[in-house]
Amino acid sequence: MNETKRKLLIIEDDPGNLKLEKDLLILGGFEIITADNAENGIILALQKQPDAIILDYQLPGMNGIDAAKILAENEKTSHIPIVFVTASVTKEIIIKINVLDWKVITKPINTRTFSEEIRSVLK
Amino acid sequence: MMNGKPVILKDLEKLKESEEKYRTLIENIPHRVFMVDEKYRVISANRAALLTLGKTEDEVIGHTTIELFPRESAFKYMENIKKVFETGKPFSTEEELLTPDSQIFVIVHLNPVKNELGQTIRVLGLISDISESKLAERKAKASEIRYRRLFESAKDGILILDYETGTVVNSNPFIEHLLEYSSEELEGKELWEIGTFKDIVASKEAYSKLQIENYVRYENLPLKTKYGKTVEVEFVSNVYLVDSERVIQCNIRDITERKQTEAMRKAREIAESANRTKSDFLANMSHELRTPLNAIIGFSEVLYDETFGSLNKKQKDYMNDVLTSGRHLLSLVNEILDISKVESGKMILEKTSFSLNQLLEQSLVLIREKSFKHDLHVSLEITDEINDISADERKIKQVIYNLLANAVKFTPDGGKICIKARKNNDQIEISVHDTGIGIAKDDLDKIFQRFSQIGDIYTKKPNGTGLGLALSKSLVELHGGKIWVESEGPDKGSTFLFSLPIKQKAEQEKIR
Repeated sequence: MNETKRKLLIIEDDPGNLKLEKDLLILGGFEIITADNAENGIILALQKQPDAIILDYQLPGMNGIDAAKILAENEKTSHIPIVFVTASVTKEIIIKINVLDWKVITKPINTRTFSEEIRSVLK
Repeated sequence: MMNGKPVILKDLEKLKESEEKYRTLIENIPHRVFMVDEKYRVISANRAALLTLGKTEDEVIGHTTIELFPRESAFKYMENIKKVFETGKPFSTEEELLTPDSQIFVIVHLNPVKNELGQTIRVLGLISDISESKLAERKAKASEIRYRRLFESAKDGILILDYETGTVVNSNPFIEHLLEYSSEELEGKELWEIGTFKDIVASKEAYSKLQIENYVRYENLPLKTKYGKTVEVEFVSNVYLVDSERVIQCNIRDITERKQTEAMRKAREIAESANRTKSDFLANMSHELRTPLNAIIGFSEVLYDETFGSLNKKQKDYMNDVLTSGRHLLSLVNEILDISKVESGKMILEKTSFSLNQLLEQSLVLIREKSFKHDLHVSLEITDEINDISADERKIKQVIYNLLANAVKFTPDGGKICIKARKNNDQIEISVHDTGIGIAKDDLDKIFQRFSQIGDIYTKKPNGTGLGLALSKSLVELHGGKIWVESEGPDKGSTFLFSLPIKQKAEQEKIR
């Protein structure tokens, strides 16, 4: 297979978490681009057209859900699957995310299955 | 006397003439007029009078009152007429008259008609209709009764004061309840004289203000009762006119209870807001703790798995310790969050109807690996099929898993664990029995308290959070159930039991 690697955008503000997710996904055979806040993440998504976006909920500035809504409403990014990886597991947040049918992975992530979980949302 | 006759004749003619004139006049006035003689016979009655009676002239003229009216009224009328004949003085009386189409209220003025000797020879009756004013009066009376009832049954004290002197004219019964003075003790006295007002100067000022503005209102006025008790009242006075006379009405409402309720409401609000702050804090803290824990657990998992290269035995052992401690810390964070949710009333049960049997089987799967490793014999005995329990499935599973995990943890290799489920009236009872280390009698009560734990029998180190049973207790109680433990003592094994109502009450969905 000479296919180009699938490209993932991770939007995550905690450096430790970012590094863990990034390394696991690189190991899983993905190309990774990252942003540490929602605003930059949206710009990157528009420019680089990733195959999926991995989004934290609690971010400095704009939160993950608002960012996801913007991405879903923009015709250039609306086709890109979104996966929330969040430590905030309150019911309100889960409901908000579920309404728009986004996948949620709660932290702590399972390092043994993380790559495959992300791969399952790719089109 | 000699020339009297022609004179009389002339007089008679004159008289006849004037009589004729008056007859025409009387005949046509809208008032009812009649005349009776000393034998109570009607000798004339005008058209209006006949109309009222509903009779013709022939039916009336020459007939006595007794023939014209019902017996009882007829006698009364005769008495009245008799009085005029006897006294020679006018007499008025109020009567109810039945006309052909209605009942009317009238005043009958009876006037003596005298001869030249001053003797009463006839009685002239004038009847005026007062139905309208009578009805208005009746209405007023009814309304007076209504307002009087209001006044007497009011749960506010009401005082009516004389505008000029400020003395009590009238007080309602509730005043006595409020101020402990009876109406008799209050009437005719000034409020200052009685000593009701604690602050005499201020109340006198208020009184002058009332006289100028016709209205004063005090939201919170302390009054002194007869026996020296202080009552806090809302005091409203206003001035209004009764028959162009000014009176003062004071409405006095006891606000002691209202103030207490208000104070309680405030206290509750503060407590609730503190609780909210606390659980908001815990929710945030839980997020903040989970984020670094994700990195700690994640990286140690990757290292332990040797994904990026192999470790020596010691390194692998240490990595396992980091991983275990990280996971331990995570369950602590989760359980603290859960317990704080229960305490602040934010733990909401999501009830569904599910099969308990299935849930028990699923829970067994969770401990299969560990029980296999320690050669534990695990059995499930379901006495009654319970397929439609209404409860929060996830939370009941959490409780069952917790009890099972404890049983595994405290039962030596080769031991037995037995789970039983049975119906007991409208409750289900689930028990987890083990042949483990048991519990000393003194510890039976403490075991459901927070952070009460004993060491793991394998590692001799505590490895639970010390919150599991406390949380299980809260979750069971949230469902309206009970949890308890039985043990014969150390090394005699233990049995943890809990019961739940099969059908949950609707109002138990959210318990504070």
